[in-house]
Amino acid sequence: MSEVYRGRAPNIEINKITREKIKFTLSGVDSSVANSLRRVMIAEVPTMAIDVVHIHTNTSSLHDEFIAHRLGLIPLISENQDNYDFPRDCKCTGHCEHCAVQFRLKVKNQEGGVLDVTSRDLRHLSQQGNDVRPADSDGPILILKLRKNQEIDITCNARKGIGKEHAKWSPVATAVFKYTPDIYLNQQRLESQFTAEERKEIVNSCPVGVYKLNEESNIEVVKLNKCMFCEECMRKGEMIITRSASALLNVHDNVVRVSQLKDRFIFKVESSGALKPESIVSKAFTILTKKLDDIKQLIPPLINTR
Amino acid sequence: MDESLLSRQNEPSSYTVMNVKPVSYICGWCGKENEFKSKDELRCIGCGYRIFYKKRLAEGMQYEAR
Repeated sequence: MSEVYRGRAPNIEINKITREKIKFTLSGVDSSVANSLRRVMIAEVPTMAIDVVHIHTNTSSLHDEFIAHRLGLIPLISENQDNYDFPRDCKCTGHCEHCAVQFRLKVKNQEGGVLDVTSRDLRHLSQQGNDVRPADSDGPILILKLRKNQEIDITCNARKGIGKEHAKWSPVATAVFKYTPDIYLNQQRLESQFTAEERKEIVNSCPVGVYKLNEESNIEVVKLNKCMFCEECMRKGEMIITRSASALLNVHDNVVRVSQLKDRFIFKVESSGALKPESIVSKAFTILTKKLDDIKQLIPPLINTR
Repeated sequence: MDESLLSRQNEPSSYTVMNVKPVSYICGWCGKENEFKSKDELRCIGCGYRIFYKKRLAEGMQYEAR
């Protein structure tokens, strides 16, 4: 088994990048590496998030803890998080411009009706840290609503942290991978022993539309990466064989086979808005390699002491 | 017994401080603000209701956003 792992060339192929999503294929590595990458993206890529909330006035209908929690969950653009220290690494006591960005939320409804308080009402307390701001380019994020004469006055500190400590610091909404599907079609048997109607049955058995019938009404794989290994096509193929006369000949040889390539991983990563999807992936790699380097440096002294 | 406690001298106890400063509470029925000293009867001056609410701290409260 071990020779399988030798001479591999790890590779990344980017399939799709949008503003909030990235899809890529990682190949030539073990599933353990793929999973480490996934877990680092979820729990160890640092971002900024509101952490300490000081509520001066709150006459809204929501209680203080509720508002504090909602503020914490607002994603803040953290592309420049390298400029900030973790609060525990900072020399200051409390907060300073190196480890915190301060916001003020001061709204009073004087007009009557219902006033929406959103992430757009969060103001920076100082000129520094303007790069850290709510990730609300898709529209303001609602925090609470105020009736007439209700008032809210809050100062809060955004700090750097990781998803391991609290999920609000996680830069991803989804970070998943799956094995690459490998679909084998016995075209020869499909053409000779199956009717066009039966081939259509196999095509229609797939719930995500992996297959298509081409002009010669033969089965063709069109959306390979959509495959979710439900094996409905395999079951349908088996069923057709069993009910036909050819069942007596060679039952074990199915016409459709779906298997998994266990060293090619299709990743899908959706950003929460705090970081660009591509920087989540590259930062995750940096963190992962740093962790491995740390372990590597610790190994020789351990061997020498034995 | 209460008197002996009060008469004890040179004791910077919070008991005496509380006796000096009346605390303001909000009536649960009519919403009127009532000031009480430590031994006052808890009864609203306006409506006679006996349930009161504590006022919010003036200096604000600090929370962890978690």
